[in-house]
Parts: sequence; structure tokens; C-alpha cells
Amino acid sequence: MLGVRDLLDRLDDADDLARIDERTHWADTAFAVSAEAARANGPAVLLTDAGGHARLLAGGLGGPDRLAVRSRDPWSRLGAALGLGFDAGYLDVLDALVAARHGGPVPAVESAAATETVSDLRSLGLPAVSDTGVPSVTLGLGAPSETANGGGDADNERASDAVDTNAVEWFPVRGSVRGSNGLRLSVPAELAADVAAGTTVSFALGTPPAALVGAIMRWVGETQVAGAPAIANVFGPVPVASTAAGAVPAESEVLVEATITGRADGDDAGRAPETRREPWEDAMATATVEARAERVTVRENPVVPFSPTGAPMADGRVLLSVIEAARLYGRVNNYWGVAPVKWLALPAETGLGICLVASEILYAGFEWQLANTLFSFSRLFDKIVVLDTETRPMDLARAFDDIWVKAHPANDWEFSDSAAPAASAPYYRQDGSTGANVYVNAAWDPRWDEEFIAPRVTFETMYPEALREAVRADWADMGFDHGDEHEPRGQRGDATDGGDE
Amino acid sequence: MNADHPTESLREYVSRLERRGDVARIDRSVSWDLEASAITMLANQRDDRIPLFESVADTDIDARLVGDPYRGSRRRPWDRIALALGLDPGLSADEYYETVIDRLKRPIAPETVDGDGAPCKEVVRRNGDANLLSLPWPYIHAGDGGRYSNLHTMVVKDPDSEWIDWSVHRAMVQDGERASLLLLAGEQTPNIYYYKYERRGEPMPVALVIGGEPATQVTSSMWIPTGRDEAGFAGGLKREPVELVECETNDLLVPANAEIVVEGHVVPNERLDEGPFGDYFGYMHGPRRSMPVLQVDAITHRRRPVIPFCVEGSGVGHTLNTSATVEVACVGPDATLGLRTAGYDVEKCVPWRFTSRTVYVVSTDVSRPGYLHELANFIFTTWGMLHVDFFVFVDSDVNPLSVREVLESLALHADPESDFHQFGTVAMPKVPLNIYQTPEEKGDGETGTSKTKTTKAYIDATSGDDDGNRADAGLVDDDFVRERARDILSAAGVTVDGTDGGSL
Repeated sequence: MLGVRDLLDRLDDADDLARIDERTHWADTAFAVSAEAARANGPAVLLTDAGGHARLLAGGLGGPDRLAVRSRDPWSRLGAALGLGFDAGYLDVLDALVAARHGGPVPAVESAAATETVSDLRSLGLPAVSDTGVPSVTLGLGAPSETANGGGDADNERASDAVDTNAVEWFPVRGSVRGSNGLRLSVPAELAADVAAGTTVSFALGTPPAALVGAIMRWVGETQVAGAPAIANVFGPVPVASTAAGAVPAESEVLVEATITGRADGDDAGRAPETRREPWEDAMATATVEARAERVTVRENPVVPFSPTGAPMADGRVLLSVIEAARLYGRVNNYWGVAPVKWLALPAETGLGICLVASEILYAGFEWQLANTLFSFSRLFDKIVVLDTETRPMDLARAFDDIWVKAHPANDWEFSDSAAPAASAPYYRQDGSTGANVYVNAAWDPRWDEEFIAPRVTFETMYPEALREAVRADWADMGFDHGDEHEPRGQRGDATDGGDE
Repeated sequence: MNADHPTESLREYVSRLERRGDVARIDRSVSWDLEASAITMLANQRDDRIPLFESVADTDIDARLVGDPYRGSRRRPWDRIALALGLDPGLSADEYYETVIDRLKRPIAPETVDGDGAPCKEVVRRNGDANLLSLPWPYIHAGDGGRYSNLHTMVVKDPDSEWIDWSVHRAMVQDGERASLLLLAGEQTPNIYYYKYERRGEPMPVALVIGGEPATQVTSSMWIPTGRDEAGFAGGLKREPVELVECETNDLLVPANAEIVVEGHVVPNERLDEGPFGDYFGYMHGPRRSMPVLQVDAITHRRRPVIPFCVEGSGVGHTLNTSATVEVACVGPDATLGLRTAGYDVEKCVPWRFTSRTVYVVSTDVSRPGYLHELANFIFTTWGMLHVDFFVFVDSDVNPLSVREVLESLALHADPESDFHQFGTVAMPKVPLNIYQTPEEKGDGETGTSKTKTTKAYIDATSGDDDGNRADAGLVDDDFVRERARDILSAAGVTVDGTDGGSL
């Protein structure tokens, strides 16, 4: 498990980080650079001079899409951050997240690394993640006071021995900075109900990614998961440090101790933060709160990761893609007493609006059960593609080939009636009106005779082994110079597909 | 590399590729029996050079093979065809599409030349000397029904007019004199055969042009309107007339610079097995079908002819082959022009990158209620549409060549409640080249279409009245800031040229 600084080093070692020392500005070019890098499937970018105290890291948890042959996967950086390795296979990441639901050891308590007080929030130079020029908080983590969280007493002690580590709670936060120290924040609605005006809340930026993963997992749709700090500790020690409110990851780059000044609901419901919504907000009910920063402390030369929200493959989208996929994967494989699902994905490439599930079709009609179970477990999507298990998770090209050629357009595109709830990721029916959902059965029909099953045309399947070996052995001698790293990942002869076999 | 003159022959094109470093010239002996195609398939999968097989074992005629010669690069699928047509292979997608469209708008009639000097008649073989098995047709996939010629132009004449149709229908070699032709009703040449020649009990004169000059080969795959000769559009593409020469045994005209011409006739009311075959959608499929029979009358060829072939089925997913490339680089611009000519406000019509003949993406403004329904059914009812099952419509500012942009539109703008049309309506015809119908459903119809019907569906993935926009639409509105950001990234070594088709 890596902290932000170690992650920077790891990305640098992997030649997956562009360090930009040229002057940018948090108000416009910082976001533009990060968005263009994400759009181009480029590396993470570290902006060392964006006009504020903070260095800005974009794409640290994002990644390239799977719509071309690449050496990296969307989850490579996240895998590295969680200590699973840069080359972790998709199932390695899913399995680790599924296992983390139960939580790890109680976090240790340390002093906060952020000790330097700065004048105000605005001086940090947080990037404007919109065209409003308003400094934004993305990839943020909040910690309510233990009172608000229903545990401990509320003396706001800062001594480490006062931290009740079992009572520490974290939640994801997205927001905008108003004036020098004002904050308008989107937080889980359930949490917002507990933070009345006048209560203290702490916010942390630049936390170890595992803490952010824990904070999102805690609030996304699942009831039987451990607390966020315990989830984070599964991936490695994430010590916490006390603050004026709840404890936060001790390694955090920036700590903001704030007082809640009000909620923006009822007549004020239109007062949302002046930034683009983060994908996690589509996965849960949220509320807007306003707060005033009382104290801002930073580490020396702080690094603030942010997500170029709205850009394809932005950090927040990749993060939720993997977290929600792991949640659903874990649930469906424990639902019928068997584990038929080989993998499941909400590709960030599709804006989380389509769910792919590769599963054994246990019996005729199982695909209907599977699809409708997933519709009932997640509010994000209203389209599901059921694939055969031989399809690999990194091979989106195959998935989006089979949807057209393997599924019968008359028989295998199954639409529900119009009573299904609206999905939250798509842009239509945002008024919540009901409508249809659809699943596409692009798996072979288990009732078909074996002779009906068409073999895939690939180098591996079409030619005798001796011929394949000879061709590979003579490759360079025949005048070719592209090795197997240029082959689509699902087709390589050595099945080096990220350890998913 | 800058624009050049168009190439006049397949071998000139291959030489041009070789000068660019795009050819692997393989001198050692290679077998036509799977080996040449295995090498070609791996080259396709690895986005590597085009293989030219200089020495083919077990062939009577000293012929060469070239595997998937028109395959484009993953990053810029149109680059090699641009090179063939004398265009700059570095053209952007928009520049390339509009250039090809502009050229297709201005056909140039072919010229007929004397046969004496025609390269394709350097060697003339008739009667017993015209033996299909003397040439090294490749056996392409293990499990194929036989050896194939599958990258050629089939030339036929409408018996009721002067219309000459060029098309691509694969031929499975049966013996020295016969091949079975994949003729599927609904396409132009099969319709001419089944509903004119065969009904009248007349043989249909045919010429198979193998290794015709590039403009003629790629035009043969296009949706050229009925009654219009592809030869003129091939001339338009290269901006000079295509030279044609008369066949030895019939009055058909064929490209004079072709490598090989197989002259013959399709015998009425005779059928031979065709298939199974590893097909364009990426699966080996069957069962064998009964297909019309080409009877060979003569074979003419250049000395040391080059036989091009396509490893069909490899052009799916990330991998390109000749047929997938021609779809993207030629059929796409041609279809775009066709729809514009028909009065539709289409920005681009592009085959789906991961499987090219089953689904097309059309970027268009929706100008009036019912527009997409009308547009979809206009396309679905044209010739050759028995292959196509789906159209996806996206906003005119969505790039149909960007899979990500299309997927995102599909996921976030296509409402299952209201935007998926005609799914489940089992009323439309289908060719048996598919894997979703059972052998029983496909049957073995006399005219090649499936026994059972299917669906032709379209998806409205335009934004319409949706509340949000595509993720990156208008993300950075200020052009100056965006350009500044790109400059910063470029200075830091990050590639932001917009052609992200195959980076590692």
C-alpha cells in the first residue's frame, strides 16, 4: 500500500508520470492539462508550479482505456497504490477489494504529517475542475467528529491517546472553495444528517489511496462492510492522526479543520458545489453542506491529487468503476451458493453506464436471473452485457464485438417493461422517471449442441501448435519486428493477460 | 510522407510499401497450406509489416503471395490505402474521408487498351493449360472447406443493360476447372445471377481479377449505386482513367495491370459446396452451403504473379486485416457520400471498429421527427445490407472513428425505454454468415440467404433532450487554454495528436 509520495515514485519508476515544471495555473491550465492528458490516454501528470502551495497530481488513480492495445490497464495505477503491483490483473484487484470488505486491523495512531499552517484554503491553489475558475476539492476525504459519528465524546482533544480508532469514520467529499475559507461540499446524505451546523468536521486531501477506497466502499451501496479505516488497513498500515474532529490518515498531505455552517437542502437545494459531480455521487444519495475552514495545515511541499472530472478515464471514474465492480462481483458470486461469475466490470470507458459480466450460464434463463440481480444491486446502469467466460476483462474489443455478432438481435436483446427505475450514470431520465432496462445475452446458449458453437478465429485457434511455434521462432528472421507485446492482450499465446487466469 | 502519384498496379503498391519499410519480404519457401496465412495472421495481430512471400512451395506456376496487403496501421487505418491512392498517409481522419468523398464525387471513365501490351496477358492459358490448381491459392484457416481466392474483383455484366458490376465474392477452389462462389442474394452480382441469368437458363460470363490495381480492388467493396460502373469510381479515386482490357474468352473488360485474370462462366442450376470458412466477424462458421459454380475458361497472368489474400476473421477487435481496413477506409467514405447524396445530413458513416460489417455508426444532426427511422430503413433496404444488423446514430460532433466516444454515447445517451428500435421484430432477411442462427435456421437456400428472418435494429445514441453531455464535450471550452495545455503536454513528451488507435 502506497502513500501519495510513494505512488509518485512508483509512477515515475514505471515511466507513467509526466512531471510538468512549466508554469500552469490552478484556475484554468491545471485542469486543461490534466483533462487533455486523460483524453490522450497519457500518463499521470504532476504539476509542480500551479500558482499555489500545492503541487497537483492528476491521473494518479486514473489510467488509459482498453480501446487500443496498450501495456497498461485502467486499474494499473490503482493496483500499484493498493500494493497489489502495477501489473496486477483485474481479478487480483477485484478479489482484493472483495476481501477488504471485512476490514483489517484497527489503525495505529500517529501524529499528523501535515504540520505547517497556511493562511487559508485558497492559498493552496486547488485546481478549478470546471470552467468557473472556482477552486475544487476532488478525491477528498472527510472525517466527522466522533459525536457526529455516534461514538466517543466530543471534547475535540488532539492527543493521540484520545482517538477511539474503532469509532473513526471517513466519507468521500467533493466540493468547491468559496472565498478564502468557505466550502460547499457534497457528502453522503446519510452522513449529512448527522452533521448539524456548528459541528466540526475535518477534511483531508492527498490521503493514501487505500483510505479513499475505504471511504467510498463504506458508503457505496453496501451495508455489511467494515469501517473505512479498517478497509484501508487491509492493504497495509494506514495510521491515523487526531484532528479537531475525527481522525484522518496521518500521512495526509493537507488537513482542513472546519465547522459546518449549514446545509443546502430544502429551498437551498440548488446550491450545489460549483464543480462537476464526481461519479461516486451517482452511486448514493448525497447532500450539500457548507463549512468554514478554521485551520489548514500542510506537509512540506504538499501534493494534492485531483481528478479531472468529466474527462474520459478520470481518476474518480476509474476508482468507482473498480469499486462498484468489486462490490457486485462479490455479491453475485455469493448469492446462489455458487460462484458462476468469472469477472464483472463497469468499464470507465462507457461512463459506468454499461455493466459487463462474464459468467457461466448455469441453465437456460440464468442470464435473465443474473442480469436482473445486478439491476437490483446497483443504481448506476441500465444496460448489461452477459459474456462467455472465455472473454478476458482487458479485452473490451472482444466484448464489444460479441455484443453485435453473438447476440441474436431478435432474441438476445431483452428489454424490461417500462417500470424499471432510472439509472444514475446516464444523462436521460434524470428526473427519476421509470423506463426500461436492457440486457444483451452475448453468451452461447447452453441448450445448443456443441457443434453449433463457432470457434473464434485467432492465431492460437486456427493453426497447429508446431506451425505456431515455428512462426514465432522465425519471426525476426522473416523481417518482422513487433513482438507479442503488440498483440491484443486476450490473444497472446502465453496468456500474459495480467494474471487473470 | 507527402502525396504521390497513385499506384498503377498491386506490385507497384507493394514496392511503395517496401520503400516505406512496411513490407517483410520472405525469401524462404513457404507453404500455401496454412503457413502463409498463419504468418499473415500473426502480422495482423501484431500490427507488423505486410508479408510478401517470394517463394511458395508446391505450385506449378511460379507465383508469389502477399498477405493482407491493404491492412492499415492501428493508429491510422487508412494510411496504406492513402499511400496506394497517392495521398499523404499522414492525413487526419477528417481530411482523408473528405478527400476520398471528393474524389468519388467525380468519377473518371475508364479507357480500353489493346491486349497485346497488357501486363495481365503476359501469359495466356486456355483449355487444359488453364488449371486453377496450378496456382498457390492459400488454405487460410484450419477447418476451412477448401483453398480460397478471397481478395479479388469479380466482374460481371448485367444482361439487360451496359452496366458492369464489380464486387468481391470469395471463390473456393474445387478442382482445376471449377470453384464455388459465395453468391448471397440481396447483393448486386448475386441478384443479377439468380434472378436474371439463372432464371433464363443462361451462363453468366465472369472474370475474377486477382491483384488488380489498388483503386479497382478497393472500389469493388464499395456501395456503388446500381447501374453505375465501379470502374469510373476507381478512376475518380486515382484521378485518372483505369486502363481496361478485354478478356480472351468473353467480352468483359478487366484492369490491364492485374496480376491474374480467371475467365469463366457461372453455370446455371449447378451447385457445389462452399465453406465452412473463418469469416469476417471473427468466428469459424458453417455449415457448408450449396453455391453456384464457376467454370474456368482461361487464365491469364503476369509473369511471377502476386496473389493477394485476406486472412478473413482476423480483422476484429483491435486487429485489422484487408477487409476491415477497406471497410473503414473505403466503404465508410463511400457510404457517407451515398447518404449525403440521398439527402441526409450525415457527418460520417463508419463501420464499427471492432467488427466491421455488422454494425455501422452514423454521426448526424437529427433534423426532424422520424429522421432516424427513415435514415435507418433507407440504409437497411439498400443492396448488400443483409450483412448489417445494426446502426448506431450519434451526434454530429461525436467522432464515429473513436470507439470511446461512441461507447460513451451508447451508454449514456441511448435510453432502453425509447432509443432502441426494431429489436425483436423478426421480419428482415439475413445472410447465413453469422453465428447467432443455428444451422437449421440458416438452412441451405437456393439463393444463399438464411431460411429464417432476423432483426435490423438501430439505436439512437444522440443526445436529444438529455440533461447532460458527453463526458468530454465542452470540457475545456477555451480553445487557447486547450491548445496551451496540449503544448505543455507535448513539451513534457506526452502524445496528444488525437490518433490513439494502437499505442502501447
